[in-house]
Formats: sequence, structure tokens, C-alpha cells
Amino acid sequence: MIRPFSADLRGLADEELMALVYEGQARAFEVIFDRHAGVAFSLAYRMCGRRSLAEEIVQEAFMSLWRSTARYDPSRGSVRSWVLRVVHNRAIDAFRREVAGAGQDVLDESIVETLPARERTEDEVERRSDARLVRGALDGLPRDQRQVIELAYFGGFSHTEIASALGLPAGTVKGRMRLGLSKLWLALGEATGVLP
Amino acid sequence: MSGCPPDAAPYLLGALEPGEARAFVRHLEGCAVCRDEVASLAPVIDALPASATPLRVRAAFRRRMLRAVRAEPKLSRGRIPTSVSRARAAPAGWLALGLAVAAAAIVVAVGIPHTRARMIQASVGLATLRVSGGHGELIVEHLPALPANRTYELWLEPRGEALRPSTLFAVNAQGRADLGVPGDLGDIGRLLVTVEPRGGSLAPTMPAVVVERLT
Repeated sequence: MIRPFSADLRGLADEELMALVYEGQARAFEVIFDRHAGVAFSLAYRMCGRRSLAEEIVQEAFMSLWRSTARYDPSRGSVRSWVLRVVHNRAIDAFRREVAGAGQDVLDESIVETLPARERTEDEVERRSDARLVRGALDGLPRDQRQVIELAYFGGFSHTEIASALGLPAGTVKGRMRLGLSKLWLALGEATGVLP
Repeated sequence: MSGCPPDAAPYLLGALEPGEARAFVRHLEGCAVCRDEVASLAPVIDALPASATPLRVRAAFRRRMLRAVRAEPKLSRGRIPTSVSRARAAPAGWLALGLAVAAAAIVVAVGIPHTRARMIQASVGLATLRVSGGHGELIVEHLPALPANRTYELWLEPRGEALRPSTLFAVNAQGRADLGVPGDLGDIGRLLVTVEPRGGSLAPTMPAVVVERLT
């Protein structure tokens, strides 16, 4: 098989790249990594608040993608979603191992590299735009719904832990999660033009 | 969805206790309604990471990562079965795409009130079933246009019987389609719409994007 140059690879869709990764092409993996490592690291750092642990989580996630691409099923979602789910699950595992607690998304500029304006690529500009959009949708939720969603997703807390911490019945916490996610769906759908 | 555990949202958020999560996964195997709710809300979960402050991985970490990969050559195992080759989507694009796929499948407490006795709103998806004299017309809305190798398929489920395939259809530019439901609705308990390969399927291969329940 003729192996494409890296520049050619960057024009391929993720699913096409994954087929090459499956054949053991490290350059295809490199493109996948460059495409999704930033958002994966941002999520891991948001969850654990420590650069070294966030890097460890991201490395584990991408290495698992390299080692066992058979586990990636294109019919069940995008590569990006798959990577982010692996990162999320591994971050929760890390919480439980190390009792790291919820990340606060407070940046220590000395240890992480944010995206300086002069160096932003097109993708990075779009990431900024997405961040604003999703944050705006989260900010639009009633505080009690946003709180349970963030504690669960970014904090890695179970609904019973959240209920105990907030002094609420478990059913109330589940109900707030459902309402909050439903409203987020509507807000994001409207913002992206999917909904009228 | 009375009788179903209210666990789709906490399941997606990873907030169920391990025993609850296992029980909910078992429940999902037999409950199309909850499967649809999970499928509908999943794009929202996929969007949540975007709310984190965008960071860039350190160059040193990138080098370390790629060294580790090259140090671990893998055996070729052939191509993965890529059924649909999706073009690379920009972040705003993937967000819209994920939501669009789920747009008709959302199960939320925003249902349109029943304004007329013979108009039945879908329990899943944005659709209305107009029933008159035992016959029905299904109006679906906000369904995304499908690629050429896919089609929407209507399914009828007689009470106590298995689903049977019905009409194949496409939606217009506004994501809308009006279809007459073949036959008498007298013994039909549910109508479903799924996305299927071109030419249709004999049994659904994807979660329903529209579910209409006739009571």
C-alpha cells in the first residue's frame, strides 16, 4: 500500500485515519492525536486540576486507542467522542484511586499552556468558540441543575454522593440531572441551528 | 416511560452507583424508550468537555506520547469496518452534527400539549400522528437529511406482536415529511421511525428517532 505523507493524512477524516491506525501507521495516529489531544487534555485538567495527572490520563487514553483500535466502533460515535469518554472514565478512576477531588478549572498559567492569540490555529479558534457556546448554555441553566451536572461530570461524584452533600433526596438529584441535560440539549440545538 | 428508572441522565453523566449502572444497562437491553433517551442525550454529554478552558498539550508531552507509540509497534490487523466515512468536522460542526442526529430522538419534558383528541404527539422525537377513521398520517419534523446510502423507515408494532417494516421515506429540506400510514391503526400499539441502510431493513438496526404510542 502506498503510504500517504503526513500532509495528505491531515486531510483525511478521523474514521479513515483510524483504519490506518488499525494497520499500525504511527503517522495516522499522530494526526489523530494532534486533532483531539487538546480537548482531551483540557477535559482531564478540568477534572483533576493537575497537569501531570491530566497528561497521564490523556496518555493512557491515546495509548489504549493505539493498542486496541478494535474497541473503537464507528457506528457508535465519533473518534473524538470515544477519546473523550475514555478520558472521562479514566479521570474518574483516577479520582477513586487518588481521591483527587473535583478540578476547579482554575488555571495555573505557569504549568499549563493555554492558547495565546497569536498562535491560534483555525481549529483552536473554533475550540474557543465551542467553549463559549457550551459555557453559555451551562450558564443558562438554573443553578441547582448546573451544580449537579458539573459535580457529576467534572467532579466524578455519584448521585448518592451529591445527594448526601447537598442534603437532597437521590430522586431530586436525578431529576435535576435530567432536566438540566434536556435544557442543555435545547440550548445547544438552538445555538448551533439544529433547532429552530 | 412510566415504570422505567429515571436513570438515563445520571447514567450518561457517570453518576450511577456501580450496581445501579449494571442494572440500568440490563434495563436498556429491553427498553427502547430508555435506549432512545440515552441516544438523544449522548451528544450533550459529548459537548460538555468543550466547556473546559481550551488548553494545548505541552510540546514535551506530545513528543513523549509519540515516542511511546513508535516504541510500541503494533501488528496490522486489517481495516476496521468503517461503514460511513464522515468528513472531518470542525468543532462547531461536530456539535451541530451530534445534536442533529439526536434532534428527533430527544425525550424531554417539553412535549407539546395534546390540543386535539385525534392528534397524538410522539413520546420520542418531534412528530405528530393524525388519526382519523382508523387511519393515520404521520408528520415528522426536524429530522436531519440523510446521506444517499441511508433512508428513514417506518415500523408498525401491532399489540403483542413483533415490529413489522412499513414505509421508506426521506425528509424535505426543512426536515419534514408527511406520510400516510398504510392499513388500519386499530391493532397498532406503536409506530417507530429508524434510520436504515438504503433499501430498508427487515428489522431495525438503529435506535428509533421517532416513537408514537397509540393507547
